[in-house]
Amino acid sequence: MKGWRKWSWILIALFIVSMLSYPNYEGDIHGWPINFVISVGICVLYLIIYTFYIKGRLNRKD
Amino acid sequence: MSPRVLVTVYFFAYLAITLFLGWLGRRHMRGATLQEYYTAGKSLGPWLSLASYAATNFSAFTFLGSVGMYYSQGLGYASLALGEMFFLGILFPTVGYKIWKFSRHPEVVTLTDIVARRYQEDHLVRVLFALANIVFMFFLMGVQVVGISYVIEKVTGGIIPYTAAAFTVAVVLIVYQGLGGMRGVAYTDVLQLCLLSLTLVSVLVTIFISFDVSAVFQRLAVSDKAALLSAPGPEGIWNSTYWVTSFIALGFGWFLWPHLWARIIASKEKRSMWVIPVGTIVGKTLFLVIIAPLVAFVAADLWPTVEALAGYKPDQIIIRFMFDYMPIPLAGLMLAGVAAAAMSTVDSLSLVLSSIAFHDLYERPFGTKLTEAQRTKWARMVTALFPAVATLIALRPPALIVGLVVDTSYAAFTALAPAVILGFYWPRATTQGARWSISLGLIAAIVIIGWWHNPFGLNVYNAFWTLVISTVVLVSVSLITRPVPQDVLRYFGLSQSRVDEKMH
Repeated sequence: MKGWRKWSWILIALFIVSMLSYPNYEGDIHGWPINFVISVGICVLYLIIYTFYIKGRLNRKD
Repeated sequence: MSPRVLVTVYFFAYLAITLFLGWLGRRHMRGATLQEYYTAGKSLGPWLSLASYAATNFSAFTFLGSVGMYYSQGLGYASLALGEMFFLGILFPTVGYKIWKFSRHPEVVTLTDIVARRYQEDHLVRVLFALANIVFMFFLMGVQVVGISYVIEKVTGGIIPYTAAAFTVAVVLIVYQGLGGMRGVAYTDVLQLCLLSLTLVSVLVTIFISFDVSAVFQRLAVSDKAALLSAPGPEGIWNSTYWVTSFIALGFGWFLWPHLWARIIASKEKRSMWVIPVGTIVGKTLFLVIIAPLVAFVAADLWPTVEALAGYKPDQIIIRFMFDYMPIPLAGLMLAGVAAAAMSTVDSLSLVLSSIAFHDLYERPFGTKLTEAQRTKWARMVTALFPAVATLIALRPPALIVGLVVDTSYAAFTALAPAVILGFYWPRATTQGARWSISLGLIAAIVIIGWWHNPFGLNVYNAFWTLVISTVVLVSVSLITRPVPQDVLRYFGLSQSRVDEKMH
């Protein structure tokens, strides 16, 4: 599987997780609210993976 | 020197520098052509394009409004940031890349040119698309002028009153846009982005120096503000249906805002197509996902009621936060950053709306023949009109119409999304389909937001209805009407013959 395709599957999974993240983590406070930490974590992970993905994808285009 | 006087000095210094940058943009212009004025000759490098896109994206609403929204509605508001960010990631290398690629044609000035070409140069599609952009973005521009004037009056302690602030900003905008066009605006965007970035980092550092954030969360969790931290929030809005539908609709609607696609068209290199989204996602994560909620929750802990805000409104919390917790010289500079956020949006909006009004609604439909010098002269005059009229509206806003139009801004652009996106990917999308999809989508947006709130009691975000309706209309009408000719499809890489060639 080409590099950018592999990243796109991971991004799709992250996209679905982020879309469903907030309502599924109601009211858990352990120092910081877990839903807030998850949102930030997803964003940072998304950013890192996306950087690899988009470079690969645009290199592929004519 | 008192803090208020210091802020006033900073503000005028900032205006002087923007005027200088507008003049610099004029010096660097490559000829007096319409393309140069509106799109900087499609020659902006990746980093300049990123600075321009990011600064334009950070509006007064982002800076002031998002903190107020987290303060009132709680963490559920992160749906906007996450939806915009994830859809930016998806739409930039796909739809964004296509916009960039098809805008390389020398006659393309606006996205409307590309959409009209896809739908057989249909005048109705062109006019509907152009009018939707102007109507639904113009009042948003007026709101930004209100935002800037509001901030300037507040932070200068009335040294510059609201009306004077509105006029001053309008005059400066008109001068530097007139001088440098898109190139001048892009240069000022770099300054505005530097100020904004400095502001964001300073606010984040201040939060961690001045507060024990864990203790803030622990106190909020056991107070009557605990609902801020969990679904569906204190106002009961953010249930799972509303979250998911707003996530999708906000992402689609926002991507097609005209001041944002104008940056794609102005970009010179393909490399911009990854520099812009990655940089924008960094900015959105930093401010909308981390800083804005942290400021809002610290504020909810410090000032739990509107009365405790002592004269500040929820969307002015970040101003009070800066004055109370940052060294005054730094706070003054940061507050100039707030004004920069709003100005960078207004200048970009007025330039792109002018290009749509002049090029899409006048030049193209009427087939006007003007010399390049005449076109540029007219473009400058039309561009000056937008901030001037927006300022007049900001002085006496007709509340109902403005409120309705601003509320429909996201919804209106989701009504345009199917015609653009399916137009690039679905060969069967027809001109009739685009006409009906845009028209009925816009009508649905106005009806649902203005009168028929929460249709069928499903708690679906209003712009999601618009997206569904315009998509269903586009698909249904396209399937029963005549396909667009093969030569058009071939131009967009959609013809069956090309698919067959690829398969063999």
